[in-house]
This record gives sequence, C-alpha cells and structure tokens, in this order.
Amino acid sequence: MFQVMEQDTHPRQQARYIELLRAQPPADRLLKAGALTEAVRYLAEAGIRERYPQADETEVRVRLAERIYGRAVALRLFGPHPALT
Amino acid sequence: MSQLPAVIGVALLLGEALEALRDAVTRRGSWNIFHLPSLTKVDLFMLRESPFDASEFARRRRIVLPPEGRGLSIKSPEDTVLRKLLCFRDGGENSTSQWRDIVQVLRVSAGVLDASYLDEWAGRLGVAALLANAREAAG
Repeated sequence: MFQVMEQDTHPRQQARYIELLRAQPPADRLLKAGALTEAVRYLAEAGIRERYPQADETEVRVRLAERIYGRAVALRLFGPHPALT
Repeated sequence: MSQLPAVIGVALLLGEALEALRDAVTRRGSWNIFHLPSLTKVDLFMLRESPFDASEFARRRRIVLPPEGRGLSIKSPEDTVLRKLLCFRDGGENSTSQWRDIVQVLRVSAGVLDASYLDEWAGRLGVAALLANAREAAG
C-alpha cells in the first residue's frame, strides 16, 4: 500500500499534527480546508500571471481552470480559447 | 458554502449542463457543476437506493459554520472511510489521494470512530481487507 506522510514527516511531528487536528471542531476543520484551497489557488494564479504577463483576466482564468481541472474541463467551461490550443 | 445557490444557478443557466445533470439524476449517477467566479467544482452524487446509501444519508451530521451561523450537513467519518474504500476499490486500488484520505480520516478520528459500524459495513460491502490495511497504515 501507499505511504502516507511518513516519507517526509518525523513521527513526533506527525503525531502532534494529528493531535491538533483532533482538537478542532469539524466546522473549523472545514473552514481551514477552504482557506488552504483558496491559498493554493491564489498561488497558482500568481504563477500564471508571472509566466504570462500579457494575459488578460479571461486568459488567466482559462489557464487556471486548465491547471486545476485539466484541458477537457477548461474547454467545457470556457469553450475554445487560444490559451488551450 | 454560502455560494452554493449561486453555483446551482450557474448550472441551471446552461442548457447542455442541465440535460446532463437531469440524466445523472435519472441514472442516480454523479455529475459536477462549477461556480465560475471562483472556479470551484462541486461534485454531485445522487442518493441511490442501496442500504448503505440509506445508512450513510441517515447518519449525516449537521454543523454550523461561523461566523455567519449557516448550517450544512456533512458525512460521518465512518461513512467517509467506507465510501472512499469503495471508490478506491472500484478505481483499481491505485488512487494515492483516496488512500491518503482514508488513512488520515482513520488517524484524525481515532477514538471517536464506531468500530463495529465500520466492521459491519466493510464486511457487507466487501472492503474488509482494505479496511484492515488502512487501519494498519493509520497505526
């Protein structure tokens, strides 16, 4: 089976991490997961803007959709766009 | 969460998506919709008529999200593990993300999980061996 966390996390730190998660109510965990997702998305968008400085807002969103969900989904959401060719 | 009605609104505006969604509902399958402003995907899994679906739905929990105080229903950790074990098995047992989720839910929820419920349904669903492996991985 697959290794989970053990490959890059010290057992003591891992135990502490699990302990902290257990101490949080489900609503807090959910909100934090949402905030993390938002942060990752923001970083991805910043990376796209840096790589494609001429891209307008639509192109950034098309490229972001492709990066997160793949080309097929980006096409489904935005239709044919030069950034997807 | 507060944007869910908007998400559904977006989906209903798209005729093609609406047809596909209607088809998924008829087949009791799954579909996904997107909240375009935030590019957020929402996976929709239709409630089926199996005993496990009924149990899973009946055991859902209500939580309230601060600060708005809005409520929403979430799946129990036992049913999360069981559903993900089914997905893992049906996907050919090669999804690292499903497996990671299963092990992490077992770890984080250790001490509060209903072990007898998990064992009973794992047996009925044919994922008892996978559950044993996941428990071992969870430590």
